[in-house]
Amino acid sequence: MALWREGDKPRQCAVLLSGLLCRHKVANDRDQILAFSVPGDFPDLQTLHLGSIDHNVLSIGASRVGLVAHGQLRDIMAGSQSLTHLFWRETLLDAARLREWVCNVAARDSLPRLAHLICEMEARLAIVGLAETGSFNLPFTQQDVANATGISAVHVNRTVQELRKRGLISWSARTVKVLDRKALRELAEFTPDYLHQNSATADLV
Amino acid sequence: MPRYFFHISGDDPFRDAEGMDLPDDEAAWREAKRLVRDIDSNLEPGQAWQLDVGDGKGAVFVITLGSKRAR
Repeated sequence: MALWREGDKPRQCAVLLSGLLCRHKVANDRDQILAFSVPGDFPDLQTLHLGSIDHNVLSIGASRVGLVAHGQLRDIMAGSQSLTHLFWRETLLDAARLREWVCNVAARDSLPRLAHLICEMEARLAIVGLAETGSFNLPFTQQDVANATGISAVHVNRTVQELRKRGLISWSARTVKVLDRKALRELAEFTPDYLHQNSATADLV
Repeated sequence: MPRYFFHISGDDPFRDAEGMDLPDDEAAWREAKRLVRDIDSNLEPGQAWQLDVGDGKGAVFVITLGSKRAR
């Protein structure tokens, strides 16, 4: 289901309350997922300044969003420099994740590429308290994973089997459990630096 | 939509039990080419593999790839 379609001119921003969203475009007749949003993210903060939206924002399974009118957001920001910085930071983090996404999709082989996606989802869901027990819900279909990684759906199936066989993850009924985090991160060349969790947010607030 | 199956034989075989619903043979060929690209990264010199695309009733496409070390 679509929150926004390419070309829409949103007059409000969404904050994701539960579930997952993705940024999506069609290229060469293929669905390409460019990013996932996890609860707490604003998937469309850029519409405050850019007017029309240049991609689709779709729900992966069921999700819940809260909508805030652009005017209200502007009023809030006019009254709080620290919130303005935090919203700005949110768009910078979005760009940082996109840089890593491009590297992942363009340069890594299928196995580390898929491993990287799992590492990122675990790390981001853990930040918002949704992967605390080491397992987390990923309501992806095989096709969603294929669209996100650019790997053919058949090879996604084969690659997940390989990650299981190596004892790195379990993945069943949309629940993923990371069984060997160190080995999975090494395989994926994943370091959480680009998520910038330790940078000086506190100084701004 | 017909369901296509993508079986791989060779050094790193894979039996596609689930298959994939696709509109026609042309779409299956596109998917096959993408799959070929994905498998490539696992190929070592001297190895070979074959991709058999079928629709449950029979073979639709076969792609073979062989390699050898020349020195």
